[in-house]
Amino acid sequence: MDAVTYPAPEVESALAAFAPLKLDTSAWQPDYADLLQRVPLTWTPTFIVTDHGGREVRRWVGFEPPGTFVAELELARAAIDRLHGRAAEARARLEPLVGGPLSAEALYWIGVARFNETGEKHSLLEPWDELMRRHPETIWAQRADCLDTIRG
Amino acid sequence: MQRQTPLREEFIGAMAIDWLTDVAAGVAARKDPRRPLFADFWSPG
Repeated sequence: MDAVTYPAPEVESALAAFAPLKLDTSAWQPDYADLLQRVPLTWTPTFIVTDHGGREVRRWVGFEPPGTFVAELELARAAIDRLHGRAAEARARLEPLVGGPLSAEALYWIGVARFNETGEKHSLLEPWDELMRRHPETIWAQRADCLDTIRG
Repeated sequence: MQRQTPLREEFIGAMAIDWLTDVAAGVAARKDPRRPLFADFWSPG
């Protein structure tokens, strides 16, 4: 991460929206057991994004190149938007991610954001149809594979 | 090490301050307490 991802200008720009912290999990401290109880870690690096109130909205594990990492951060910000009732902002944040490295997940959450905006299940159909069409082999397509039920 | 933060004690105070090795944007966090938190839990080597 330090050699490839963090120095990338697009990553620096994306992280400017956050208060970024870096914690060395190998540095033992008396209350380290308490830390692991609060934040169970099975591998490093583990990345966690919370909203300003400390509520975790996204977690992922392992190295990622700059483009994928920036998409992770945008998905996290979109999750914060939805958590705070800003579904339209979430959708606007997610739409540029379609076609990128986390396109399938972005389409899934675009559907959810649209549902959040309208309260109508049918709002899920267009983005989830696109998800099924563009990324049929992904777990996100499996999770959206209930369109016939939604169509009624 | 920054020991003042507007972020909630239950996250920063209890969990991180004593274990923090780098505070990349402690100052930025104080400037904008609404800023979300990104944490990289890493190990050297």
